[in-house]
Amino acid sequence: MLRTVPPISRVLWILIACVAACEPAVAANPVPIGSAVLMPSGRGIGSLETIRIATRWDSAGYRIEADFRALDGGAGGSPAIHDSLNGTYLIVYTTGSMADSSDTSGVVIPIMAANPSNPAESFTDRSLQVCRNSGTPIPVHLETWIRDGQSRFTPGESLIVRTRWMTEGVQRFRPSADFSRLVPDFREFDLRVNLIRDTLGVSEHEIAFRIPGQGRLVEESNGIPLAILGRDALCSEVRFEGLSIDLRTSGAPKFYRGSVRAPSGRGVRSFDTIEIVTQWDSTTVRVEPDFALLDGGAGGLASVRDSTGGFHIIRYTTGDMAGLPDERVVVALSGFNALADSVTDRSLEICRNLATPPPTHLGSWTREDRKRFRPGDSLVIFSRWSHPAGLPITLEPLLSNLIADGAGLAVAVSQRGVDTFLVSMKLPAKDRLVPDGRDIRIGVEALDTLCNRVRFDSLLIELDTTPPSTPPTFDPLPPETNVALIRVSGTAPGSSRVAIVRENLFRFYAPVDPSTERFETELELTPGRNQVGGWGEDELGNKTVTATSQIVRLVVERTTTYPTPFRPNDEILVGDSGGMTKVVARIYNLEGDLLAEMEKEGAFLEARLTWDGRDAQGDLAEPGYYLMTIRRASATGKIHEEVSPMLFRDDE
Amino acid sequence: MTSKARFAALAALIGVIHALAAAGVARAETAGAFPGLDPWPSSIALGGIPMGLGEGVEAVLQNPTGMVARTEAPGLAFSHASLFKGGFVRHQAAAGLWPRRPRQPVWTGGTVSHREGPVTSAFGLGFTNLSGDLPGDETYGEMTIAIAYARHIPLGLRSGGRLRWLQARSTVDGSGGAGYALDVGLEGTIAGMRVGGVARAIASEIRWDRSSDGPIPSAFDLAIERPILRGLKLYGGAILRADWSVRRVMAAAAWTIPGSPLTLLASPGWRQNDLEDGSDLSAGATIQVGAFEAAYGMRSGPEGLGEIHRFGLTVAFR
Repeated sequence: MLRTVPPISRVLWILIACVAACEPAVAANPVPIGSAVLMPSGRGIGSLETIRIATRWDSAGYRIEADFRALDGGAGGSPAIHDSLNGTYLIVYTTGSMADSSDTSGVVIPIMAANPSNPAESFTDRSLQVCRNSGTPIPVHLETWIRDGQSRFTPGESLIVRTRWMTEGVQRFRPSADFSRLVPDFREFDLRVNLIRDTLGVSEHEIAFRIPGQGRLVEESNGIPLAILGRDALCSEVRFEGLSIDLRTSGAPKFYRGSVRAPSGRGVRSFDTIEIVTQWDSTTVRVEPDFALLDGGAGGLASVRDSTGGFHIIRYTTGDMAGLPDERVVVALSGFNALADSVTDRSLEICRNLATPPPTHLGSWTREDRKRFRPGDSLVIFSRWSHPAGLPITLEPLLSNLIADGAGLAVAVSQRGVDTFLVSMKLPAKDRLVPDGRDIRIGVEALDTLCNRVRFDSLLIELDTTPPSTPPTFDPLPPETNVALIRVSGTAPGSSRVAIVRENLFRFYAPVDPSTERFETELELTPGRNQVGGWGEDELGNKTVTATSQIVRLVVERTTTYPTPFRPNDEILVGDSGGMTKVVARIYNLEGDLLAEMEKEGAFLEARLTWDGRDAQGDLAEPGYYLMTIRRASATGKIHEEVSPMLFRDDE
Repeated sequence: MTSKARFAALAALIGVIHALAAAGVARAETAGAFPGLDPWPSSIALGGIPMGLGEGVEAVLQNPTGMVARTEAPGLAFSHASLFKGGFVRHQAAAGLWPRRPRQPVWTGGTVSHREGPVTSAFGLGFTNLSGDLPGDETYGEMTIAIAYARHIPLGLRSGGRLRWLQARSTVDGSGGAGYALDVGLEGTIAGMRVGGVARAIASEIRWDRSSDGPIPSAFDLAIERPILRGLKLYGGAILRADWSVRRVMAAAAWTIPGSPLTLLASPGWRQNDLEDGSDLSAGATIQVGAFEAAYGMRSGPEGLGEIHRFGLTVAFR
């Protein structure tokens, strides 16, 4: 990466990297995918409250720690961590008293993941932010209605909702809406929210939404529910769902979608030529764009060209927009069919940007201290940006040079600090990657709300999909064993290490002796079937294919069976599925006197011992309660002792 | 009376008591039901010696003569024990003591007044409960209710007797048994030593629902106590079977730390058995706070059987 910037700036980049990426860059560190608070939902966290957090990482089996000191000073003790075994961990924590702390947002909960077999492989994710709210009021919904009483809407119409909330004491109340039942790809970004009045702790807002073209709408139906949201600065989100509308789409031309093709990567300036691609249900639709909100209609419409598949390409040259503010404006698109039915879509927005500068790229670097990556490797990019105008920035990874088919690739982007983004992913299999190569250019692209788009694609990595060094060879494991700890050994290249897994749950590394190229370690087995596998890793963490084998741990079952009540000459049946060489049964009374001793020697799985009910003097034992000790000796000399109670009677 | 005469009298009486115990020989000389368990933590910690030479309220379930030895006030005692490995057996004991102190004229500074004199006799009431687990969620239980009486007798000796009502029941088929046992004790002081003995189950009979009826095994507990230094006492004792064979021999020491409410107890013991001879170690401690005394005692059992742990609390109404 540093080769792409002037030498004078290298020191600065290194300093920025050290400040922003607090963790040392270590290969094979856990990679965070994301974290979210499951409970409480829709509000901040109060005192003495049990909270549940889901945190997702690139693998199961990590040791997870969460630090809640910033929330309650750690008064709640240690959280309970549950591993769901698919990379998602559930953190359950009960907060302590937060009476002495002020209610606030943006409380960072660092979540640390570490490899249990190598604690040096760890990573702390600080992207999860929660709110502390132990007493601040939350918004209370009072009333919501559709302005003008309209209940039936068609594409392109404005849906205007008035909503009234009790907001006394609420921190920075913000109403919003969720129209995803009407527009499946609904974005809150498309809403316009205006404050109407705010008096006596009651605030009234107007939420306006332009119903998009039919291509983005659900099927025509009645009673489509709408949700109105009331949010505050302390993570509260109150939902009101008592509103619905009817949607009518038939008759008029159907507008599917529209997008701005030019100018690309920036907003529109004076005398720019704009190219908009729209799609309708028919090529026979006559399309009339309205650019009045952009430049007051000062420009000139160059052409509206029909294309195949319902596409219409609109070219327009803007007029002089000097003096107009930089903002997003709506371009109304009206479509007319042969019967003069029409629809006007106002969902397309275009950025008027005469002077607002784009985001500034400060630096990007990969977390790993290497340039060479292999399928399955974790790739984490830190990217630091600032915006001269303070606009929000959205970041998108640029991976088309690395991943041939980006579909379905899980890429997590989280904002770690004010301007530092963390892009993390796990590289897919070889068949979805480009061919091996050096200096593969990847990067990120930043987009602000005024359509400024800045690319940084100068991160150079190498891709190696060829198998690494020779995979390890495991010495044969017995198909069955009755011990809990087995020795796993084998041969591997001396420059590698061998990762051992059992049921994909427990992973640790066995070092390879460079001189003998042998590795050896112990693996704990669970009762029953155990799938044991392992792969070799080179110094870059590149893996060989995994070799697996099954080993069944026989659970030694010990049984002692005798009748209750026990009568003279009854049998005591002693079993041990692990085998015995000697069994000794002793009968004691509760005073600790030994009454009788029976034993059997040999090699057997089961022994039958008979007590004639007589004591050491040969007298018939008294009726009553006795204790029997059973002492088993296994072939390996291991002794197992147990005590069993016995009720004795002489009514033979 | 000289010590020699007192010793001769005591030995003769003990011999008679043991002869009476031997007369009631059961079919087996090892206990089955109603075992002779040490009912108090201090008894456990001293190897079982106090069974032959107890004192105070605890003597209600030991040698009853101890009820009039070093006793000044009524008292209550409770204890709980877990017996051996596996947690199958629990044992609880409770006892109450009512000493009788006749008023005596006292000449003080030229005037005669009447005050309570030393304890001359005492009544005691005791209770024990033993519960044991059996395979298949079945249980077995034994309950004992004892009434005891002790008094000073001529020759400077103390005698006592105890009648126990016994009942056993199991959930296996609801069957059990019930009966009684009579215990007699005697003790005295000879050459600065307390010497005592109790014949347990000198007479007894248990009637069983599902087993043949008969007495429970007799046993004879013999003990001596000798103060050595301030706060330090040494003990010796033995448990004899009805056929005069020695079942157990014990030595013990109790040390009350001067100026402290704490008493430390320890005892090695040796068992004799036709099948197995062995030794064990007992230890414990008591701490006295006002009228209350809390105690803990443990004893190691035969190999593989585990230990006995017992906790107790004693209250004296002074």
